[in-house]
Amino acid sequence: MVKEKIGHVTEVEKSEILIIHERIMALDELLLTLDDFKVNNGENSVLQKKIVDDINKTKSLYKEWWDNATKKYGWKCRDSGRWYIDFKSNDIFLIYN
Amino acid sequence: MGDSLEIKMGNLVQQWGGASVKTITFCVTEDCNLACRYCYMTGKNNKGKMSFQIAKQAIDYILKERSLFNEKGVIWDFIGGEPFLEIELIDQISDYIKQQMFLLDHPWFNKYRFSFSTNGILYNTSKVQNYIKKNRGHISIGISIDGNKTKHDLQRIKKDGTGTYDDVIKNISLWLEQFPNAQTKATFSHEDLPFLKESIISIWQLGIKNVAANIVYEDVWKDNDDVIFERQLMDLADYIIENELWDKYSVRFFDYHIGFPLLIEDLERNYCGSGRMLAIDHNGNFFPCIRFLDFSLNSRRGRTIGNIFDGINEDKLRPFYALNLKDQSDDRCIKCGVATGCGWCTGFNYDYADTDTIFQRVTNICKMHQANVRANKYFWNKFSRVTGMDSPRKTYSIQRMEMGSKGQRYLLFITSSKAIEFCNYTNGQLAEEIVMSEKLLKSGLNFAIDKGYRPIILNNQNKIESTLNNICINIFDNNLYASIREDQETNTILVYKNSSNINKVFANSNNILLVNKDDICKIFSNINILHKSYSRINIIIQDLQKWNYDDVENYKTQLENLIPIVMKTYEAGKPIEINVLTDLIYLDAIEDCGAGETTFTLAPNGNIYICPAFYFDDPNSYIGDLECGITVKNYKLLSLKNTITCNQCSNYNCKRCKYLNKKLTNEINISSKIQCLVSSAESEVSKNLQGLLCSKNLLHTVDKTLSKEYKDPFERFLDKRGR
Repeated sequence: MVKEKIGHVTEVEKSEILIIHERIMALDELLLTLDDFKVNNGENSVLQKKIVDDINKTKSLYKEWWDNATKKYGWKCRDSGRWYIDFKSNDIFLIYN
Repeated sequence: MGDSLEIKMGNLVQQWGGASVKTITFCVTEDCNLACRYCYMTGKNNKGKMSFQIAKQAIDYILKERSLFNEKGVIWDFIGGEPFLEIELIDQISDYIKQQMFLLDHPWFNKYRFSFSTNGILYNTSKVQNYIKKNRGHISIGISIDGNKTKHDLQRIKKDGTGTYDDVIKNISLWLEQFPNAQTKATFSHEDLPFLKESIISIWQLGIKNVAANIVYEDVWKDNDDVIFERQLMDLADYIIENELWDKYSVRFFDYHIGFPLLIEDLERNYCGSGRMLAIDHNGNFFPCIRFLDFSLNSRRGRTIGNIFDGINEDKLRPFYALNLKDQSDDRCIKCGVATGCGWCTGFNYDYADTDTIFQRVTNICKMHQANVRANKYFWNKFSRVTGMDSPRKTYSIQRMEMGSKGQRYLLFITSSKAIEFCNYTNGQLAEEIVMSEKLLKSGLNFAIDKGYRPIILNNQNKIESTLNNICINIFDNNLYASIREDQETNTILVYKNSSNINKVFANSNNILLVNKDDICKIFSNINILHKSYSRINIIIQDLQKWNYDDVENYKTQLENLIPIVMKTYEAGKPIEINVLTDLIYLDAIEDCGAGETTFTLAPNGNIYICPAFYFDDPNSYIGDLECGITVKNYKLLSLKNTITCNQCSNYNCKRCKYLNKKLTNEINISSKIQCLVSSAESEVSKNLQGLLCSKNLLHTVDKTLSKEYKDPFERFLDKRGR
């Protein structure tokens, strides 16, 4: 696994993607509560739909952020690679085998 | 060894979210499966358990009151007793929190964590593990492990008295696998000090790289404990250096921020976050932190700040918002030379105070903190010697000085017994010239950096290492300076003798005009030259002890003549500062020179004095040296608080020269008549100036504290006393 630094984003840009990332994580974990939580089935399915809709919407925002950032900075990419952001340093890495 | 090496020693993992997040603590149970000897929760019991209904009502209230709870994020903290005894309840509470934050579209849904402090015994149970899996991206867990088996089992025991080391240790690898950057607290009390070094090493060897070690605040410390503590830390320091571990591990005892004098801004802060946190007990009562719950206190009842039914009582929170270092500490702590990093617990202070107040600081750890600082300096000094690198401690010390805070302390270097005169003394008394050696200068600089004192150097012509050059303040004779430099550097203050003809004037911000009895009449003409190049001129009188009433009147006339000059600079939008005239516009307290309190003087003989005047008057009047440090006898007499008359005076511009006090009144804290007359004359002219500036809308208010009633403020004091 190779981790190559390919760029850097501003603090504001980092904050945007961090909020989106945190929300996706929170939504995924919220889904796991539905089995345990003591609400009736009707309420459960309404809540589940709301969560799933939000996940789809937030994932679109996630993709949009990366698309915009890539366009702005022109980061390099590879077929089998993926981008990764270090939230402490705001650095962007390309990870590939 | 490269400078790029990352030094980890002394750094600890910062709390997630920093200061912008709220910590809300649910005390889910007052029960614990252990009976640790040093535990502050002395009222643990198996009755106080939170119900889901209480937790739910608390969550509903908190999420509804967005204006009260307006932080950007939240840490939902679960504590006991032992919180994992109630893992099913915690799971239910966590689910409810997540759902409500989502349904209410609360901003905290995008920024939250669940946090736990546990003894680790139940860590590997399926219920705890399922909970971790379910909340994987939002959890931080700290497991308490105190050191090696001997140390851990001395304190952290079960109810039957047996140790728990083996029970905890079996879960550590799983914990580190799930939380690789986890850190632990290791708490030390009297009995386990001899095991400190081995304990810290043992924790590191388990794979826990960061140890937030501390000592208990309770009154457990015995004579000689500070010696044992220091020895243990120094042995640990040697071990770290020998094995080059500074880039791999960390322990709080070697935090390089520890052991500096306080700056003004430090005085306004509190050490802990009580009041900014919220703790909830099983009855639904709110507390400023966990330490204020009933079962955490020994001598007092719990101190609530509201409850889930009536909400937060903001009046009860006010003292916690107001709480700062200076209002709960005595003078000894405020002026302590190694104060930073010395901590307290507000809850324990409350429990231990003479009355039921949070404004009384417990200082049981004073000697222990001093021992920590000595060992800390030992470690970082040795680090520098061995690696050849500047230590983070030195860098931090310099950074603090560069901040240029009002609370800064200074060490003034007299580089030669014939060095420049710049204050109320002359250097002619000593028969032979004594020059400060380069070695002494270097040792003095190390001493200053070590103690956080900013160096001020008189007529220095020696080369100073570049890292220090930016923070050293140089005071130069203007003629000497003109012969060696083209431009005046930022950190340089030039001294102009009022008696001489001023030829070369540099363009800069700051200078001193040194005035004597015989040249009072030249003040106006010299300032008329200087003010064109300088934005601040400090008039300093060199021989005040020789002045009489006529001299004061002449001086006052000269100051009055300066008023049009000052007015013009205000009209031009570039107001000049002349200390004795304009400082009163801004001062709200007496501007003390700080001699013997915040400013000390190193003489070329290697001794340290209250100020240069004491050295030149009597070289035997020293108060310390670089090896033994500084000890001021009857220290309290130097403080403005103990001046009897000066602390009631509104002539804030007064220099309150301690040397002159001693010389003329025999007491360092009592001002002479001539000092009072001069400061009153300066105040009076300043008031006239302020009035004129106001009349032209160049200033908004005249300082109301200026009084014309008394030429000598001491007279007012005597009148109050009924003579």
